[in-house]
Amino acid sequence: MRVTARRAGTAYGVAESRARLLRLAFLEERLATMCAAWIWSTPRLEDVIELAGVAEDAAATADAVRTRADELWPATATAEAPPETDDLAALAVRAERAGDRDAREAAAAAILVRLREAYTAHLADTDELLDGPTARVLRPALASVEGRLGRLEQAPALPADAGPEPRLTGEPARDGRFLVVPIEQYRVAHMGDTPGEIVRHLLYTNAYGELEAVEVLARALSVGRDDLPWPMRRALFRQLWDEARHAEMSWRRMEELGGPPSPLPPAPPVIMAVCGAIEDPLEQLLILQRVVEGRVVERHRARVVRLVRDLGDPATARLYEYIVADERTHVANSAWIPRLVGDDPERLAHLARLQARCEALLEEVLARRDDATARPVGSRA
Amino acid sequence: MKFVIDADACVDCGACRRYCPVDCIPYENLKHRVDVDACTGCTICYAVCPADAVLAIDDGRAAPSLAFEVMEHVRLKSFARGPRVPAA
Repeated sequence: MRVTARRAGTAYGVAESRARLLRLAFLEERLATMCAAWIWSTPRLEDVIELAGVAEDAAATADAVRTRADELWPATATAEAPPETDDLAALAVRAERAGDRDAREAAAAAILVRLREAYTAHLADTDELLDGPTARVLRPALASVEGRLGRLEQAPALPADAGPEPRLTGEPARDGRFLVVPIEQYRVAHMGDTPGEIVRHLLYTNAYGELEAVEVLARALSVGRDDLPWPMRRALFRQLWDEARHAEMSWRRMEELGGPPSPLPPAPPVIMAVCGAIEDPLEQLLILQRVVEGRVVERHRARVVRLVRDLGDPATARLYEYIVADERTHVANSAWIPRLVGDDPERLAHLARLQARCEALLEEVLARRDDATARPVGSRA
Repeated sequence: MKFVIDADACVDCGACRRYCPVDCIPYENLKHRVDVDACTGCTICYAVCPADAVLAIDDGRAAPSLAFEVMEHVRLKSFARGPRVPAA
C-alpha cells in the first residue's frame, strides 16, 4: 500500500490541478502538431518515421492528460477562465519555425525539457490520496517524455529568433531512394519475373504509398489547420503513426529480401495525384480515407492470399495482414466527415461530386500498365 | 436472400458499391445503403465488405451459401475482375 507523506487536503486544489493539466495538454498538442508540420519538408524516410512516432506519443499523452483535466470540475467554480498559455505558445511558435533537422531536434528537446520539469513538479506536488488519478496519468506521461528525450541526440540550444513559417505548400520533400515521376508519366511497371522480385516490387511501392499517406495526413494535421475537433485529430495522429510504421515495415522487409528492385520502378504518385491539389483538410481526408484507403483494404486483402498461395511468402503476407487491420480503422476514421458537415446539402453534394471525380481519376491511374501480361492482384494464373 | 448494410458497422469504404454488378448500392449524403428492391442477392457485397457490415435478410427466396470458403472464392473472383469504374 502506498503511503503519502503529504497531509490530507494539502495538494493542489481541483481548479489549479485542472488548469495545470490543460497547460500541459496544450503543449503536448502543439508538439504533436509541429512534428506533423515538419514531416512535409523532411526528406529522409527514417526521419519522417521518427517524427510520426514522436507526434503519436505527444498526441497520446495530450489525450490522457486532457481526459483527466476534463474530469476535474471544481465544485465551487464560477466562470471558468481558460488556462494561461501565452508563454507556452511563444515557445511553440519559435519551435514550429525551426528550419533544419538540428534546429528541429533543438526545438523538440526544448519543449520536452519544459514538459519534463512540469510533469515532475506537478507529480511532486500531487497528493496520491486526494488526486490519485492525476498521479496515474502523470507517471506514464513523464516516462513518455523521458523516452522521447532519450531518442533525441545532444541538441543545440533553440535559437532566440523565430524563423519563417513552416513551408506546407507545393511538393513535399522527397527521399532520393524513391524514383518519383509526374503522374502524367506514371505507368504501372512490370513487377518482375520471380516471386522474390515481385514481392520486393510490392514492398517498394507500398512503402512509397504509405509515405504519401503520411504526407497528406501531416499536412491536414499541421499548424494553422488545427480547427478540427481534438478526438478526430487524436485518431488522425494515430493514423499518421500507423502509416509511418507501414512504410518502415515494408522498407525493412524489402531490405531483408534483397533491397529495392533493380532497375528502380517508378514510385506510384497516386495519393498526391488525387489529394495533393486539395487545400481543405476535410476534403483531403475524405479522399484519403474513402477513395484511397478503401481501395487499399481490398487490394491488400487479395495480396495476402496471393503472397501465401502464389508467391510462397507467408512472412510478408502476415505483414500485410497487420496493415489491413490498421487500414480498416483508418477508413472508419472518415465517419468524422459527415458528422462535421452535418445536414448541409450543398456541402454534402460537393463532397460526393469530389469523391466521384477522384475515384474516376484513381481508377484511370491504376489501369495504366506497361506490362500487357500483368495479372490483377489476386487472380489465378 | 437480400442484403442490407448495418450503418453502425459500416466504415463507408465503398467496396460494396464499387463491386455491385447491378449498381444497387447508392451513396447518398456520404452514407451507403442497399436498394433492396433492386438487389439480386448475388452475395458480392457480403463477400467484399471488410467490416462485416452487410447483413443477410431472408426474403423467402432460395438462400445461397454464405460459408467462409464460398465467400473467399467470390471475393477473390471479384477482386481479380476489378471494380466498376465509377462515373465522373
